[in-house]
Amino acid sequence: MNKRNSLFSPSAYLESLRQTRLTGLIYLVCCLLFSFLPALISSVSGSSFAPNLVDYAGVLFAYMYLAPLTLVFSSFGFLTRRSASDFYHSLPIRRSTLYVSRVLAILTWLAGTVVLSLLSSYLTYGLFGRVLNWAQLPYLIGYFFSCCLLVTACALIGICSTGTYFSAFIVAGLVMFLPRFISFLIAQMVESSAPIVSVAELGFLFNYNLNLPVALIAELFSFGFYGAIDLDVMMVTGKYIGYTALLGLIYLAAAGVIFCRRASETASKSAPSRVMQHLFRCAISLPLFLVSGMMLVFSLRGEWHSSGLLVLLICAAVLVYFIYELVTTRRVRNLLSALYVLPIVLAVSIGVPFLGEALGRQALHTIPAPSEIESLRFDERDGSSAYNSLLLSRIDYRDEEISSLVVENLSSTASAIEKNSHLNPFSETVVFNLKSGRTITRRIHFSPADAERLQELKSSFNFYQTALTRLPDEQEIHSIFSNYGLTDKDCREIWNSFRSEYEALAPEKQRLLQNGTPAVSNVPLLAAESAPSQTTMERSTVSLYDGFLNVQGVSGLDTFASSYNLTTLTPKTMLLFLQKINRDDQNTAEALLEAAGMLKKANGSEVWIGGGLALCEGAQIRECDLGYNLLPDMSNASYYESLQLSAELLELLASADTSIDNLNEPFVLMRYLNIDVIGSDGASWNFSCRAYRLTPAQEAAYRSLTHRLEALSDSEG
Amino acid sequence: MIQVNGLTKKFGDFTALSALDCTIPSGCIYGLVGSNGAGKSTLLRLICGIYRPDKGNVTLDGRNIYENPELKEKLVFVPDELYFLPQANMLRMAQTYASFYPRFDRSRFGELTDAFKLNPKANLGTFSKGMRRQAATVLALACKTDFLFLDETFDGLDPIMRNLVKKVLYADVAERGATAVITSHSLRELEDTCDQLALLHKGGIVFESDVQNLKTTLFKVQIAFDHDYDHTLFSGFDVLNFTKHGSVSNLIVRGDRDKVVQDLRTKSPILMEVLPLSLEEVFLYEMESLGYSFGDELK
Repeated sequence: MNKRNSLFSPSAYLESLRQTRLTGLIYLVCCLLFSFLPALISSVSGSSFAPNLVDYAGVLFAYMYLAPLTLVFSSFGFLTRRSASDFYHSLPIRRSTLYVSRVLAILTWLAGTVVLSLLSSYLTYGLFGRVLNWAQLPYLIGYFFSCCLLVTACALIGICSTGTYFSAFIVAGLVMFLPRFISFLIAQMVESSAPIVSVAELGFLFNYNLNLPVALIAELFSFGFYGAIDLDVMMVTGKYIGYTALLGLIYLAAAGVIFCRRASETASKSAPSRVMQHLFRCAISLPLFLVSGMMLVFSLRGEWHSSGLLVLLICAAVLVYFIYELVTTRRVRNLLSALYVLPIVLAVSIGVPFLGEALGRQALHTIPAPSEIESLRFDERDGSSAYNSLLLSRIDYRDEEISSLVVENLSSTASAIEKNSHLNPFSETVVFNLKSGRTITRRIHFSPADAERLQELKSSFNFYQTALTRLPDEQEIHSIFSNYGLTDKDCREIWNSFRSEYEALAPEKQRLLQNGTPAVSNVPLLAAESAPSQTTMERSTVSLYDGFLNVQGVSGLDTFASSYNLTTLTPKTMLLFLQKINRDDQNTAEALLEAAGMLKKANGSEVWIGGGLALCEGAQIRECDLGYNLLPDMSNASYYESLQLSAELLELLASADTSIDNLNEPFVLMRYLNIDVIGSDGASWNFSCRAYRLTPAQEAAYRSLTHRLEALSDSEG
Repeated sequence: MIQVNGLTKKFGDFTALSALDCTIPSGCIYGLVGSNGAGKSTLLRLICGIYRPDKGNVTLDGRNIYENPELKEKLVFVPDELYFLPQANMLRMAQTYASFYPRFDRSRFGELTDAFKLNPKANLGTFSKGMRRQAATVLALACKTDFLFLDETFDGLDPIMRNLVKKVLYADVAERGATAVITSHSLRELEDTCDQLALLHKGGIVFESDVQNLKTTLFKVQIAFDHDYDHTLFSGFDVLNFTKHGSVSNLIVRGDRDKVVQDLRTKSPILMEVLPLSLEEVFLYEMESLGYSFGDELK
């Protein structure tokens, strides 16, 4: 290809790198520092837990919004100054080449900083012997880089389609958030007029998790209540990362087209033409107008009675509309032409909520006859990403009784909504695959009797039972990890042991080992088996603790994250786990004694003790959660007694044997223990998971100490 | 040779250039003169491919310049409002120019920096207006392009620096056969610099000619007779302007100076003196003859 006609110019790229090096380097240094330091502090403080996903270079959450914006505004800032714009457009380089080369320079800084920051965080944790899940690193890089890419693209659209920083910032924000905000309002209207309609039916545009930077903001401000998922899941889900990156690339291409078509004389103007100025002004005021329109619809429905607030919102929207015009063009006479366009915004702001309302009403009256149904699917995930929920959600039921039961309850749910009467508490999201080829999704509320019957019907199928208890295939698993200081190799060994023991168990026992599968916990039929956790309790189940082994992977196009309980139901695995966590135990006893000594000397200092202990004796588990903030202004007796008892408990654990080879003998599982003595001679200890075998005398002493500690805590609390 | 055909450029409702045609020959200094808002800067930006024409085109050797990096390599533009990278010095700017102009000559850059006594390591933000103009000119000349477009070239330069810039421009044109296109709203600035001059007025070129030719073929004659007379007495001459105060008349005449003088002597004047015209006067009279009236705009 002719060098001059190439899309990329190495010299322009290097020149752009040089021009952005100050901004890029400042960000790089800050990110490296704030990735390295928290990892260092956390590791030096003694924690040996595997870091959470958000602990790896958490600074990148701020970076992915700020850096792309700053780098784009710095690199493409010439578009806001006439002389600078003319200078760059006079250079012997195609606009497309200039654009691509400068964008690549920005992306180099972003990618470099993301990768180096994550590596710095990983390596720091690694140097201190923390358990790392390297399989997650590519996902984390993908997450942060795709977010950076999308924010970069939005900022580029902003700066390429306007001629001032202010307008560019506003337009970038609009490109980023307005489409999702409009889809959110439509979904809100549909959902409010027909709460049985699943937003999923409206299509991918209504799935907020797909757009990762928006999803994070939505989660931070808690307005993404339509199926918002945990950040941890979001960060390692290829589908979301892929969508965000693809959207970023599409926006980058759009910004490139705008850049190439842009007139140099647009610099220092708020918009390239009056038409675009109208468009930007309408868009900036549209959110407020839309909210006003939505409230108007609610008022007409009788669900909203604050007309004062409605008037205030409309006034605010009109003010934003005209003030934007005045601020950006600084010409009073332009307000008149803005006035002519105002009716269009008003029409849209009323039209969109009514459209949502109409869609909702239509959906409410769409009730298929059982004979029209080809098959039904039940979304068993309901916020869970467990593997078995995923398998259960893929089952197509072709059963007349199930169809009739579902249609009957859909009809009664729709009727209850129309009459504004009480809805049954048990609800499930059902996907109807109709014989016509159409698919509809509804959230149906079942009466307790029908819910039980439905569960019986589903359970009667072998494929249901198989899906309920099946473990992920080896090729589907991407990572296995535990939060209790185990290496990848340890986890794999424990998982292999778990799999062989699990497969030998009866299905009802297998289900007890799955943690967080809604099919197990939500359905009344099995609810009795799932006991709620309490601070201190005698549990009748055999579960040692939830979620000791976490398994993540991809099945088909869906990611899953399941966790499995280690219990005495899988004794070999349990024993293996205890032996693994006690493997490097030479320093713990000394540290426990040192902490005990400090507690005894803590005369008048504030002391914080937090920990989770469990006395395991065969199938019986006695939980003891420690959480004391011992203050000098407590009654003297309580303060000193608590310190004394805590110290004795630590001494008892220090003296206990850590070689566990028989689960029938009593042992204490210390999941974690943190002690902070605050003051001039303060100190801090963090202990990770350990198991201690107790002699009968030690067991009696343990029981006595924990009883007295709990009694003290109750009397103070 | 740069050919401008039917060039039109509008900014909103304002028409900056309207169906403008002109030809800029190679190897000369071409002056563009016109009042503020006449369209000089817009024309330069269109020729340099900064603006996209609304109508018409600009070609270099028959090829369109807009979005043609191969041709734009042959042009360098120094605008009226100068731009340098933030916090840059001349060395940093030279690095930038060198990234885009393959013929950028660092030794020439060094020579010119020395000649203008500019500190290449000093922040350009600390330079005076004139020094910034000199720096921009030095950078443009170091690009060694075939065409130099200099907008308001002498703006902010003291007389010594003006002469130095002119000298350097002459050298580039003479030694390398480069073409310099320079603009000014003052004819006096361009009078002794340009080979060709074009006058822009309200978005169009109203007059374009060779400077030497203009200055030798148009001249002023102050003449008096001992009898009453009027302009009809000179009907055989190409008189662009005639004014009479008492018995003395001032004629602006176009033609061969010696022949005109010889012919006028045959009419037995009691006083006759031939005076040279400044370029400014030449333009004014030429324009008046074409029906344009500029008032004091060019003075």
